[in-house]
Amino acid sequence: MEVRRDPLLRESLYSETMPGGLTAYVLPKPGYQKKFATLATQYGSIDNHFMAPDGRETRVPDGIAHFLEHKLFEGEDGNAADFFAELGAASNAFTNYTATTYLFSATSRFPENLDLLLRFVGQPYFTPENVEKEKGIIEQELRMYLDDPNWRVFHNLLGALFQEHPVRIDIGGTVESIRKIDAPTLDLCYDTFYHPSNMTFFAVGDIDPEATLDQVRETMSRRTLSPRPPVRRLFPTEPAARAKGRVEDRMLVSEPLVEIGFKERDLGRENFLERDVLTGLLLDAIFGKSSHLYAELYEAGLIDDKFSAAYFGEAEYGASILGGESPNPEALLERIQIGLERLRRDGISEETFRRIRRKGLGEFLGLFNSPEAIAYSFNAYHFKGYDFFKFREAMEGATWEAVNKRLREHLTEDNLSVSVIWPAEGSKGN
Amino acid sequence: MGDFQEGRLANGLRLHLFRTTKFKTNTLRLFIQEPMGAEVTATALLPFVLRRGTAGHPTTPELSAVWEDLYGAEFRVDILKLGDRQLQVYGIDIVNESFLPEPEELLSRALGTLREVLLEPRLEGDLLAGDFVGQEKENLRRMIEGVINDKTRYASLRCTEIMGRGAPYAAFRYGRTEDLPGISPVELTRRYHESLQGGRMDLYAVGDLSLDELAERAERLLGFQRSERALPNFFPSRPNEPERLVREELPVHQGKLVLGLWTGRPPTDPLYPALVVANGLLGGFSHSKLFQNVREKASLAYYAYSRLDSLLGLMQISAGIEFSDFERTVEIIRAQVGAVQAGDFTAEELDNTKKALRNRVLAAEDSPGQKILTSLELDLEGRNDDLAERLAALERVTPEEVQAVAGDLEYDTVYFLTRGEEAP
Repeated sequence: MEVRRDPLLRESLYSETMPGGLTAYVLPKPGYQKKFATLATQYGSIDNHFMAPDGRETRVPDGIAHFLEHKLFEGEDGNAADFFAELGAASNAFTNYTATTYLFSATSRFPENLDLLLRFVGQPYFTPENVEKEKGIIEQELRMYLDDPNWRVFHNLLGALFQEHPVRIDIGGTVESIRKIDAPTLDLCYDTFYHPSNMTFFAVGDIDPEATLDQVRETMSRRTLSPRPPVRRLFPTEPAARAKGRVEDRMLVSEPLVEIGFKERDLGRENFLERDVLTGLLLDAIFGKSSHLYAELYEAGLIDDKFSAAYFGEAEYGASILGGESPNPEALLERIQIGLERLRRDGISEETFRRIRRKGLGEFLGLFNSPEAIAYSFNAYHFKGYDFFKFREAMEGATWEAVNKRLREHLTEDNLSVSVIWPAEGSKGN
Repeated sequence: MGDFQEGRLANGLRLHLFRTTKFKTNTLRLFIQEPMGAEVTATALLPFVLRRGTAGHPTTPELSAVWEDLYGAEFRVDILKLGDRQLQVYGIDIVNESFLPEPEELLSRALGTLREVLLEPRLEGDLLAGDFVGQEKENLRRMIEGVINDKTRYASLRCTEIMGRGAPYAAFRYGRTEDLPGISPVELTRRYHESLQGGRMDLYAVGDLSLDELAERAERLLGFQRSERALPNFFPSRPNEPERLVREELPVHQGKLVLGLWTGRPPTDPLYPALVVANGLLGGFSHSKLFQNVREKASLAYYAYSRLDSLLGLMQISAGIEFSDFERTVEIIRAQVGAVQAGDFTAEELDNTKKALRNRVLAAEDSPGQKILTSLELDLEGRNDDLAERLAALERVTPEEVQAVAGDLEYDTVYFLTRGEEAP
């Protein structure tokens, strides 16, 4: 067991790699009522092509990682969500492009809840009947997202940015693709990706870190699993260029939504953290509320408070994405491009950079109020090969020159795609 | 009362402090509370106009930079509706300066800036700046019309609107687009002075400071001359009309069903805790009757839940379904309500509900914003129980009490947002 303390944050992180390869972390939070734990696997919607443990190259239907997440709660003796309820805990799970996370939040009986979490995630039970039953539920979930313009404008943008990479596929798949899912395929995916060496555990709350790690170690040592090399994931070669410059759609919305993406060309794991930190600072400096470009766009009525910009990135793909609602997407795009050209020429001032960095440090600090934010951040960076405590150091080490260099190299014209959702006929105010 | 220490300035502003060192931040919320009324839209505009610029920092980038410089202090404004009250909210979340590498006076500066926003707006002559007013009117219009983007929320608001039958509380918290053309800087400035003078003001703080420190700063910065108007208590009476069905057709991918019911019980009713438990049992959690029967057993929906509006005495049951499953879903929902009314629930279901409610109440203690909101709601509800009392009251609820409160539920409206005649 290892302990690391961040003296500025006044937080300690306890960690250990368990038998079987599961990495486990505990961040104690004295005085908190909630005890929060996650068990996550590095298996998401992009992992649709891989080498199975038996050596066979395998392709699986879209949406299966998410489907599996739904089904894992069901066991032979009942549904894990019910057992958590009996223990007074709230449980949930979610799937994104790169990982599936199972979690609970409890204010008492932490050891029993922890045991249940480790157990139910470790015991798959997929039958033809329970697989069929879930299809109706997931179909409604997919339809709910089809009605969500914020989801659609973003998803469409990914389709415009990426030619081949599976990040362009909807996390939940489609109504058609989930119909193809069956129990044997779920078993195969489980077997491939739910080996402990592909997983990580994180707990936050007023808990004893050593006792918690003891419990996890005890449980994992009882499982007999042969060691495995990391999963061989197969990805198509994604060309550097975007797929298309523009994608449009129509939905029941009161005014257009628009998102602009700048495709990442500088890929790789080694400098991911630096790239992530610099881009975050850059986007905040250009599109944050104190920027002159923001004021110009806001006063012209082209954006509102919901306008935002963020870096959506992994080691092997990424994009800076900005957008929101706008009555005139064309004018917005034009003004942004003119504004960026001006900024690429004049640069971001050192004063702005310092202020934005102070802001970033404050936000990093504030994040540590929330058990969920802590666990999710640590997990996300862990899967990319990074320790989230290092985020602050990376931010402190960022330089004004590096941010301006990133501006000139990343926010350019030729790697840009636009996604627009126009109000459909029958929309109010249209 | 309850968990917060209380104070009051000479001008009536109420102070509420919860002192703790467990967070990395200090959290402040200033509320200006007035009854929902004819001026709902003008009132909704106020915080959005005020936060744009002040006499000392007349442009938005300048003022935003002030907040950013305070290590990214988050300054957010909004409008809340609680019961029939409309509240302007001015909120600050700021790093606790003891965590900084070098000491800095963050909280005092933040409060000083809050005072600027509230009391020293950018004016043109005596009026709120015309460009800010014009731009924020346009943004408010977009916010009101934008409700349609979230179909689930839209359906819920429509159901409340229908149930309210034109009463002030039934309006959307941001008001009505029809009102906007009639709001000039003259009108808005008048409304501004009225609400500052007469609206009830509460300043909540959660963080590492004492009531004396808070009171001293608040007196200095917000102790201006004012005279609050009394706020009448209000609880809607049930219309006692037959249930109505309202269908609305729009190009949606999923049907949004909302059933609106009256509870007949204000939060001061002795059986109010039983109502909270009954709502939880019916549809507050994933083990609840609605989730289990509509989603898990019948596979008709991804979400199916019930929500209680304690201050208005109404309950809404919501589900997102296939258009053609309307009749079947309504039938299953009514059967679940009937089951609770008939006492058709196990000791385990009741126990799981109490545990889940307990978990939820305790978890709110870990969020400064949630803690403040909970305290505010309790205050409006006329309750001042502390945490231990609230938990005990839920624990004491009996199956008979659950049945009794469920028996008093009355259906008012069945609302269905659907695509139209043709099935998808």
